[in-house]
Amino acid sequence: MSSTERRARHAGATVALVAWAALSVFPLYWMLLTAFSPQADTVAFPPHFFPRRLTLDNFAWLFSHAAIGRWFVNSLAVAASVTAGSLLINAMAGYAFAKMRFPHRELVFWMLLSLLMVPEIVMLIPLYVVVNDLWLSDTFFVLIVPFLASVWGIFLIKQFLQTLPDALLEAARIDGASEWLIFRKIVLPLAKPVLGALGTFTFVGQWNSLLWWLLFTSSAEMRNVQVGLASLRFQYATLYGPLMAGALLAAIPMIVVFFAFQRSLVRGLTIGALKG
Amino acid sequence: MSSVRLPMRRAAIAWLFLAPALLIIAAFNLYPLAYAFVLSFQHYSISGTSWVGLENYRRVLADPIVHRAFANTLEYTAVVVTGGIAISLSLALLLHGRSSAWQTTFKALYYLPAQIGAVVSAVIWVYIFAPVDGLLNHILAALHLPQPLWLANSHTALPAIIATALIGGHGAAVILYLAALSGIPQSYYESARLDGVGAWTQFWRITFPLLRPTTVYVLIIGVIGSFQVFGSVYLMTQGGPQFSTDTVVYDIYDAFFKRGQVGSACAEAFLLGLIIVAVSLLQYRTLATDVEY
Repeated sequence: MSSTERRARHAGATVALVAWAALSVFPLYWMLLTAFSPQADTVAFPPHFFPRRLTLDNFAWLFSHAAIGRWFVNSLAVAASVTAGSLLINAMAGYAFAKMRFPHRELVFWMLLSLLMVPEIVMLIPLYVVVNDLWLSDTFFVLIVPFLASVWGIFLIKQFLQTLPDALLEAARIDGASEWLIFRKIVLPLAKPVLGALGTFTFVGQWNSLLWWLLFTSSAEMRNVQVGLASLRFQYATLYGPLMAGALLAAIPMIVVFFAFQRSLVRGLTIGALKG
Repeated sequence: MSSVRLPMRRAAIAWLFLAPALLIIAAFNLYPLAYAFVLSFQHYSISGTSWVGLENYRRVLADPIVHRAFANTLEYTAVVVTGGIAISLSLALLLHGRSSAWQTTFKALYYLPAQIGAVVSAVIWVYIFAPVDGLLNHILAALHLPQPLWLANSHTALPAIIATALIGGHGAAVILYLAALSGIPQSYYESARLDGVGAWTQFWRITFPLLRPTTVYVLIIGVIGSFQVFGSVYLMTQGGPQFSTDTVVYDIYDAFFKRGQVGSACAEAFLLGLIIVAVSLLQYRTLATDVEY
């Protein structure tokens, strides 16, 4: 291959990479632009690709027409409690599967793993029936407790902890440390990378949760940001300015989490895939 | 005393560590799973519940709307998963060998659309696809091209939803492919080059086979996820027009939530579960091989 040919290929590859990045990020830019544009500009022909007049009207409209503050509090409260609680519970189980010996360990683990193939909707219907019978609909209980353990989380932590040397734990055991002490003082600190990764995924998944909240909440005050945004989309189908303002507000926490925990996200992906 | 713990005691401690997780999974996964199985053989209503044998399954299997939902879901899954693998692998190959600043930047750009969530992304696309005020039709109008109704037309609605899935959300697969690519020893390519093997052949004979574990993983995760597509359908089309975007999970949601058909919804959910398990195992058995290098 001649050097001009190589340079041409390199340039072609760059064009393709940039073009695809532009295409995939463009909707985000369009949302951002529309959120700060007056309603007239959002439907203007020909469309404006760059801001002309900027306004906060869409946000003002949103806050006066929707309980968006309350939806944020709900989303944040549930996502934070689920993340904190499930990290502890999954770490305990993951530790037991990775480093403790007990009868039927492999069998129990594989039975749990096979649950990953069961579609969520299969379990949602009977839960809905039971939850309604117990008057638990529209409560935080049903939004938080079912997610305090996850097969995927246990799997991820087990995969990570298995790579720790046994000698470390055995030394502590010989010194008479209880398993709980070993777990708290040795295992949890060492598991920080996987806990960071799993915590990030859990928080993102909870924040973006739709179906569960759609089924288990009925009052407008118990909606999360996603169900709230969906309700706005059906109620005000063509008010694109306020809709994009709402979408932007819903997206901001995820964009912040993404840039703050990018390395954790990448680590989580590779722990799950490569060692699985 | 505790220096050598007895096996019995050790096992008891292990179960204590497992207990919270196992209790929650039993209550919110296993029990509902078993109950769904029971419900799928019952006619459930507030006034009384009765056993109906295979009636729900018979009704679901004979329902043309359910057929449509399964066909739509298969089409969605086939295009989104295979298209997604082709796109993410291409992007990873193009990025491989670039500086780490390049890789980090582009991985982030490809990841962001999935990070913002299905609802946000669908709301933006609804606006872009809007028949009169949408950006897409504005561009087509400026180019003097026909302007379809997109999400409101039964021929274009499903392709439009598929396109949104293809455009966003390859970040995770690109990251996995890049990680796998960096694990392939350069010496393989050097010896291939010495033998005069071209780039195309190198890809199919060396790169693609060695990426197989990653491809199998992306494929299985992709199929399980795509078979359960719901958010984009719920927000963009609600299964319409004329059931042209009705997917299985949306149809189950509709049967259960809007029409109150508990038994049929459970039966349809079980059929979906069976298909997902069968396809996952099939992919795993036919494609998974231990590759070591």
